[in-house]
Amino acid sequence: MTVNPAHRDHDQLLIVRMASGDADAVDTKLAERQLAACDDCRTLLTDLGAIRSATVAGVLRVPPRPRSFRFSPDDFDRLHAPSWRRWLGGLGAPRFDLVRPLATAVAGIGLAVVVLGSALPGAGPGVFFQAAGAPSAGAEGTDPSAQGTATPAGETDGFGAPATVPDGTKSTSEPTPAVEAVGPGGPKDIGLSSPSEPASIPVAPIGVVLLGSGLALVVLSTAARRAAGR
Amino acid sequence: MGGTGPTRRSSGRRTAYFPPDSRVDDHVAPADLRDEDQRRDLALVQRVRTGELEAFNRLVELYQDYLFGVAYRILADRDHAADAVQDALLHAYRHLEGYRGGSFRSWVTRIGVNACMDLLRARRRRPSQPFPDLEDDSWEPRAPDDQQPEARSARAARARALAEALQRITHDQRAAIVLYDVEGYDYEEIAALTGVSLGTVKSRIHRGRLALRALLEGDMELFR
Repeated sequence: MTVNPAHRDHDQLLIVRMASGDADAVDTKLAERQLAACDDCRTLLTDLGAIRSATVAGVLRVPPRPRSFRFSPDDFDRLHAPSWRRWLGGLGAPRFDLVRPLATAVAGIGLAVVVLGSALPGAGPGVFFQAAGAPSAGAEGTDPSAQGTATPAGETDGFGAPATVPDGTKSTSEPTPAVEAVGPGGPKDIGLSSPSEPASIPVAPIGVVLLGSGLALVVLSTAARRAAGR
Repeated sequence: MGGTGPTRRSSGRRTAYFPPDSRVDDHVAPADLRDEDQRRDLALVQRVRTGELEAFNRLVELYQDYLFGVAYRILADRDHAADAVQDALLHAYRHLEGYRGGSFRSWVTRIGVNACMDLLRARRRRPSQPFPDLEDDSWEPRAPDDQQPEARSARAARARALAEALQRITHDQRAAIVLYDVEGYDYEEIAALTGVSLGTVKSRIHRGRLALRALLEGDMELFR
């Protein structure tokens, strides 16, 4: 379909407004002038009328509704339920369907962690795992560099505590070695207890928390589905 | 809103070049019948307010087909239209105290249109099949035997082309055109129903018509 180049410059909305009866006298005159001079504008006017006729004449058929929208007594009960129950019913909507499998997975992981924690040899349910790489108390080896000299800031002096503050003075929080053996190889750290415990992960409590949260979410999700009538 | 339901644009307007309406539905009722409907609806609402829940079901029965029709024409999907009607009726029941007389039909239509808009926004966030129902016309009633097969197929093609084009314009334009051309509301009523200004309604309808024509340009022989 070829379009008259001049038509591209014509105000097509003016034609629509006039066709709809929404143009004032000035606009109507302009539109009529445009229509008189342009075949494409006249075609536009005809087409607009034909499309509107089809729309109005019921071409857009509606299928029968798929169900009755009457409210059942259960629906009314739900609508009259207290606000907390309606809130719970909202959580039972299909978009929250993923919560239950996720909660079950969390509970399963929690249970596994509790069981594994309890099954460790010589450990009860409250066992604490040490973090990987964390030194255990009394297991420190000798540290030849720990000879009372200042170490770079941020490094430890073999006791697990900062050796110096940046200005080179000894940190006041540094533990004092209980015994410092001096032998042929110089002063030697013979091991001592640090005031800070090595980092550890409370495995069993984490497992219990995971298990509890998972079970609580499963129960909540089940109750929500019931409240939503699903 | 205190309107009286769809009022056909028959007077008080400048001359339109469009042909006179030839609607086939009976959505636009005479004024005295509309008044009677309003009295009936108001009585039913009062009964619901006094705890007679079955009265609400009577209102549901009266308006469910109409609401489903509006929703389907805006959404072009049976399931979504059903969801919109369900949401609208639930909202209407919960907020019945917000109905202060006037046309129950207009009040519930506004709720229905809002439910459709909410669904369209959700659909835009999670796009699925663009024109879900347009391929399925199994629900179409059987055409009269005296109708020529060519005429039947032309009508079906016209309906499909128009429905597809309507789905391609913006949903604001579509809702305005459906409410104006199909449901018979006037500009002011549509402004009240959709919560926008009169100028915005006109602009949506005008631009929507122009967009429809651009989309249907290749199929115009079906409409002439």
